[in-house]
Amino acid sequence: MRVRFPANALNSLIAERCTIQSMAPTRWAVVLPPDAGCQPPINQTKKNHERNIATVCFAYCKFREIVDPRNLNDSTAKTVLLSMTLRHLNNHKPEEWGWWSAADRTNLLIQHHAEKQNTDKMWHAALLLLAAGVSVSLARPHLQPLSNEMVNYINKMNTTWKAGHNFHDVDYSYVRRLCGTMLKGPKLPIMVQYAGGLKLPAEFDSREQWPECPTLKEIRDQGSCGSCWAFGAAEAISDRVCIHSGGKINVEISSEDLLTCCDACGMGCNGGYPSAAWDFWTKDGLVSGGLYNSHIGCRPYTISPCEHHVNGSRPSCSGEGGDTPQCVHSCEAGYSPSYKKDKHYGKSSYSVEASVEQIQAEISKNGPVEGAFTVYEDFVMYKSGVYQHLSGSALGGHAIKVLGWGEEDGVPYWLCANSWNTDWGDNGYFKILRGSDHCGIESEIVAGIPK
Amino acid sequence: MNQLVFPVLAALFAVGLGSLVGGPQDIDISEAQDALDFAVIKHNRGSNDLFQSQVAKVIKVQRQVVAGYKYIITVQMAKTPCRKNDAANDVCAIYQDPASARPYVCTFSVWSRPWLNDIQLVGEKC
Repeated sequence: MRVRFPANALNSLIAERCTIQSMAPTRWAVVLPPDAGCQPPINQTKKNHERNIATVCFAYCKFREIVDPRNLNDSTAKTVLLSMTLRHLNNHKPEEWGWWSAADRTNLLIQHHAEKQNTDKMWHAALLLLAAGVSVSLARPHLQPLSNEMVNYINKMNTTWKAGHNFHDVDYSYVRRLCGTMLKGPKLPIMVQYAGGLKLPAEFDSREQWPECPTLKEIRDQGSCGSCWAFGAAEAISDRVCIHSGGKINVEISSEDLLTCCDACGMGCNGGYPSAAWDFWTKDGLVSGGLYNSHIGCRPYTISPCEHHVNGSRPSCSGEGGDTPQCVHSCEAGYSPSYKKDKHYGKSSYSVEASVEQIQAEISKNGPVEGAFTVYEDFVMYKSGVYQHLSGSALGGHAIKVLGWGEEDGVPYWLCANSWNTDWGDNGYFKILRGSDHCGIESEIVAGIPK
Repeated sequence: MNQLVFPVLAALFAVGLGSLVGGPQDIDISEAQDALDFAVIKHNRGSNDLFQSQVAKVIKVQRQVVAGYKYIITVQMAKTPCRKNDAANDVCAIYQDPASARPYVCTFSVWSRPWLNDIQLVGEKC
């Protein structure tokens, strides 16, 4: 029996990532390029039958993500797709079948029936493979997270980044659930720039582009508080204030003021919304404030970075326990301008469209942006190179500052500043895979323009 | 088929705008056992009681991304008949009768920075 794929559908699908090829009258298969992601069948085509093919393609592609394609021979693929097609036809009214006719369905049924024994065997094989695939993916985190084994595993993968050696007694177990509850924050208008006339360089580093702005080279430390959202914003705002003044205004914007006084931002040390942080800057403004104990600016950070070994340079841990500090509308003693006078305001705040070019255009034009992504256990051990998630499970959402991009050994990356002090990662900075919305890094970019 | 595809699409769109970052998430105690053990050792070392306390019941376990990550564990503690300096006695079950067990609730915050070989008890509310 031959399952017919109209030529025009085929042509349009060849342009897509998922292609269906009819190879011979009795053999056909789905062909996917080895590295193709699954393209959902949305807006790909308006024609019914093409949508149907795309739907099958997508389902098949999702299936193939679980089952190692190397273990899937042609006939298994065919059986799987056959069953999927049948299920599709059975679940829809004939008028929704598109180009599939009742005769096609009968043919499919006959073939399905004739091959039932075969099919059953193959489904068993496929299910076994599925089970194997699932158990492999479950087995992977059983490497003691944050253990030497995991570090070795990552380094042995010969991937684009290196893990650091770590304390094997802190081998905390992994989180099984992903991301947790995603609460919605306020929506900012989406800024879409005309990037057509803009020539984007292959590499860009804000630190080199604006050497007159020293905050670009500063790495902060959020301590034991979940204030990443305030840090990413305050860091990028500090840079932007300087950049937009042509290097004339040089101020460290206070993470403390944002963390403690923005009620709409979320829950202080228990998490917040980057978009709300930028919105707060335009409405209530932010005072200056440096690192913990720096006595720089109006409201320096009050949560200690905490010493971790005996002869270190940091103060010892005072045990804040994670409470958000108080919102105080006055500056530290000895700082002369008043709290009100010290406020710096934003003119606008917006989110940047989740496209590489838009983000690049925004950074190269206006300076660093704040981004958010899902942190996995292996990220905590990052030392150098371009990070891609390999092992361990999700710890939760984390916000950072994105200040540039480039390519390392052919791997495109975003250059980011973390707020975990300079002894984390690459002197406090890290590179993360660019171009595939890795861990969501490209989908939550927010920024704004100073007044 | 559509049943299969639509949840996937919905998930794609749900990741759109403004998710909370830096917030704690509920996890299972099996994923925080080491942190809890660490907290209990610190707790016993820090108290004036001659006898050890042990966990009677786990109430709530959360994990949060900070500079590194932090566990926030709420448990019910109770007294055991074991003396603190009694190293040989490693089986220390809590008293069964409430009068001797004197149960109390504690919330421990354990902060871990693996790249610094650092783990600390940063909060203890009992």
